[in-house]
Amino acid sequence: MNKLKIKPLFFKIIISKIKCRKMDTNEVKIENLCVGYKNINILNDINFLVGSGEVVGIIGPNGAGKSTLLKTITAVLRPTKGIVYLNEKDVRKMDRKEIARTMAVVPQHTLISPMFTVYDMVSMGRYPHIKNRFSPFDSARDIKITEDSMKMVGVEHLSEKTLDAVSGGERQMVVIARALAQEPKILILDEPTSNLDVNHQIKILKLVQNIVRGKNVSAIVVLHDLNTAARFCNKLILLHDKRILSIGTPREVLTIENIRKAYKVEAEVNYSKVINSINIIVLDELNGKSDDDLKNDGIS
Amino acid sequence: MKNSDKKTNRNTTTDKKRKYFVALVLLILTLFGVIIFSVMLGPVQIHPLTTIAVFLNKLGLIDANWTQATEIIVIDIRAPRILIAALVGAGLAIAGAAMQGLFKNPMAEPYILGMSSGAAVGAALVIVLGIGVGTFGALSIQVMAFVGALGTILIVYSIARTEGKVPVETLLLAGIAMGAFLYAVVSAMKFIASDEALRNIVLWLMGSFARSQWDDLYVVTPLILIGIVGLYAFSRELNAMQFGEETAMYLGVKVETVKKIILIFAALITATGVSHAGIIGFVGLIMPHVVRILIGADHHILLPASALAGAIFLILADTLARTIASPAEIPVGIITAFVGAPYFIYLMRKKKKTMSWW
Repeated sequence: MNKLKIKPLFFKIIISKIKCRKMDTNEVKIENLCVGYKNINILNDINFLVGSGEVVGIIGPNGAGKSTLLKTITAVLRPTKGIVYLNEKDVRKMDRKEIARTMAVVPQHTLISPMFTVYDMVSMGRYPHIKNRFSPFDSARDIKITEDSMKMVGVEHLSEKTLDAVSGGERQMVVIARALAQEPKILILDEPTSNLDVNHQIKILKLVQNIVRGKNVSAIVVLHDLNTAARFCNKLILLHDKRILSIGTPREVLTIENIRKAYKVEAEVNYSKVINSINIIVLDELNGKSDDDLKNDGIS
Repeated sequence: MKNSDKKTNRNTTTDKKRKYFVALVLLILTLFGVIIFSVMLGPVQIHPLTTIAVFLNKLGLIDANWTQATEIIVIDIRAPRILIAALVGAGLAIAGAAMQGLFKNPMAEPYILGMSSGAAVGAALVIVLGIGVGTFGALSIQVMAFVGALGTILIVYSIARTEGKVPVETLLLAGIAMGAFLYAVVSAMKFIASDEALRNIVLWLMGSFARSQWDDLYVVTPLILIGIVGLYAFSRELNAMQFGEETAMYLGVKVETVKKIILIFAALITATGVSHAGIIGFVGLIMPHVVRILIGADHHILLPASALAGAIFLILADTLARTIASPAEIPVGIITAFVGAPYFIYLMRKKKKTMSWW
């Protein structure tokens, strides 16, 4: 009888430890981040945390600093102040290959070369893991991971097609498959659904959700469309005027006031039971009203 | 057509291996064949088997006898010239392939950053003004051309460098501008040159292997081989960079460092080639395209195959140059364009592929 009592406890501890380890890893932490060129500040005082299994959306009007924030997280830009931590490691102290093994980026634009096939493109994701400079051939393990990545995304049937022969939507899926082949802990996607039809939009965002849940990675997605952002992200970060205007669940962030302040539009926010998410309808722009006017209106 | 996906990809890899292997073996065999064939041709014809025997004897593998004259023709006269042509051809073609990959531009070639004009200025300084003759003696043209070529790429690189980065577009434009400027310097020197010096410059500009000797080979071989191995080592990075520099960086490529390394190796090869043989155009531009059409665009095969194809092509061109109007010599640069261009156009039309790889 004693044994039986101990066992569950023992397992509980182990399970909680495994969970703890999983919870500790695969996160992006941003502390007091300021970015700028010379005297011009582009981002001020950015703080947030993206945990394992979370999809965090970055939204905000054009010029709010979304791209700059992504470039700083991916260590393309050097912050003037503050630190970006990938799994508790300062990104500035990581080697490019080490960054690529931790974090995969789906950029807004990918050059498509008709010289390469879909398989070639996806297998490029293995680059940060390959140490041999001279062999032109992938190892069996690399081939397996490349294949699995294509399968998970559902592009394995395109494997032998050249990249100019696949549609824009399929191409984006291929880029995501390449990101998966990196075996990343963190996924970064820069407007992954722009220029895609509705079918591919929903396909890609569901895919990102599945990957994040299935592999317990964390994802940061820059999105323009507020409705998709609300529907597919656990957490939203609304950037406005070089700062975080609001951070939290979609319902907390996408309020009429916040939308008015950030986007200068009048909007209606409803809750839709069908998609179990909020739904935003933009009514009209706020004509001729400056920030000061809004302050006078008592909004800020 | 297709079996299961798993099999397809595995087969693809085996197919790829077989394809690369077959292509390389065929090219290497062709290269040896062309070398033997080329030694055979000339004012004195030498039987291919004799050629092979002389080479093997020189390596200490067999013992046989033939006239002293035959050995001198094979070893001292024809072999160094043919081997240098092979090395320069290989070097120019691989440098061209790497430059095209780096710039993602089908018109890129080894001379695109103005190195040929820089080398020409160096050579012209010696030929017209006699600069360097006292210091370097008989080697002065080669040394000055080498210095001119490397000096040019250093200047171009520092012009294009902004905030620790070298954007390829800026580099390309800086190279073209610098090349035009240096070409004007060469023209000015032609203008003030004596008739004999003018003739010498013009001949140098058209390229020739007529003066190649074993001593040159001892210099050219290590420099060009280092360049070739160095460029090949960065095949994977070049592949990644075909998807754009941003993507390559996200994949883990240190883009700026890789650019610098590729430029260094390509510049080393180009400066060596141009200083020993003058400006031989076309090999570096066309051979990579021919290989892309016939074999593939993966830099792991594109680079070595271009090198072998370049070697074969330049040996044949040089053989034609020294035999077609024998005992006179035609500058090899004329032959490369004269023969290479029509073949390339034929291939382009036949394959019906556009040249826009990027």
